[in-house]
Amino acid sequence: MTRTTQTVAAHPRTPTALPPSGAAGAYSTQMNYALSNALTRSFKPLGDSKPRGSDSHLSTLLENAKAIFKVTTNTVAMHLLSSDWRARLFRQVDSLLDAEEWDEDDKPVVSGSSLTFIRMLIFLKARRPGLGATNDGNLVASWTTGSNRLTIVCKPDDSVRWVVSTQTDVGCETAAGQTTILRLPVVLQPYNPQQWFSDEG
Amino acid sequence: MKGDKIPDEGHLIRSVPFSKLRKADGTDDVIGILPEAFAMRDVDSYLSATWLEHFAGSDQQKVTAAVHTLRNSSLKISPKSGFARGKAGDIRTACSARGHSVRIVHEPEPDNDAHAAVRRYPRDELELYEVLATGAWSHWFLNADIP
Repeated sequence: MTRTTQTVAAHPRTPTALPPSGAAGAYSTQMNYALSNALTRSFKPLGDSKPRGSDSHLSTLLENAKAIFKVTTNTVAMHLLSSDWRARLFRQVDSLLDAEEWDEDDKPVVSGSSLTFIRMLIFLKARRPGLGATNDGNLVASWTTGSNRLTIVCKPDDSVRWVVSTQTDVGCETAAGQTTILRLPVVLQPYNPQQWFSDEG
Repeated sequence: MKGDKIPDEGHLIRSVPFSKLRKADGTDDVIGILPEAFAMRDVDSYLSATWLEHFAGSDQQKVTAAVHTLRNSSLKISPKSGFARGKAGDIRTACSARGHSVRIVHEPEPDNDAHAAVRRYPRDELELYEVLATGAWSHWFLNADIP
């Protein structure tokens, strides 16, 4: 952890190494009983226990997803992202997972996606993206610079799907693919990814 | 009539939940549509939309009537959700350019007489969804914009 922090400070714009996931050990020692219950409930398939139209059940699942996201972020990134940066990110997540707004047919965000999302942000040293979610419970990070758009779907186990649309001399160009966090800088290189990732504080 | 093809000059609006609206970096300010807004769920066999020209009146009256119909349907139209609007012909062309010969047909449902189905629509085609979100189906407005 110390080594990673030093590397980040020395090369603020260059992806270096992925932060450790730190998941199992940190969770077992840091999570309280209530949060452990939240994890257990969230790992159950939604269809197993979801009574159709039950707002309170959906609210519980969404609250669990928020808690898991925040614990994951603090566990992985406490020393890499400032508290203010994390607080702003958490406000975005609270808004995204607001039960009043959430489509009850969509699966709440899964923990593996949250972990991939935060590891990707740290690895890319990216500014905070816009947030979204897929129907099947994966976080979506989006960056928009003028009419140039980058959208990344974060799946468990550091897997990502990406799609780019950029304006070129000959019109709009799109490209898409699937890769891992480590390969993202390489596959996005032709599209000048710093336009989306450069720091904004 | 049920099963009729929606003409190329017809317009479709599709409900887009807040989670599939595009926000400006690091904010909740809506600036567009995410490609995921045009993804089907696993249980779906077509993409749902609402045919604007089924309603009478001016363009604005049609939009308002369509939104009111959706608010009164079984769909969850939340305060911060939005709608994507596109022309049927443009949507067909965008799908066709990527090898998908979609059928856009009027298929009324009990709670939405103007319901339209985009059939033969591809599953898991992120790049096509992005093309729709930036082109043929990119016009958007918020639920809050409609009285």
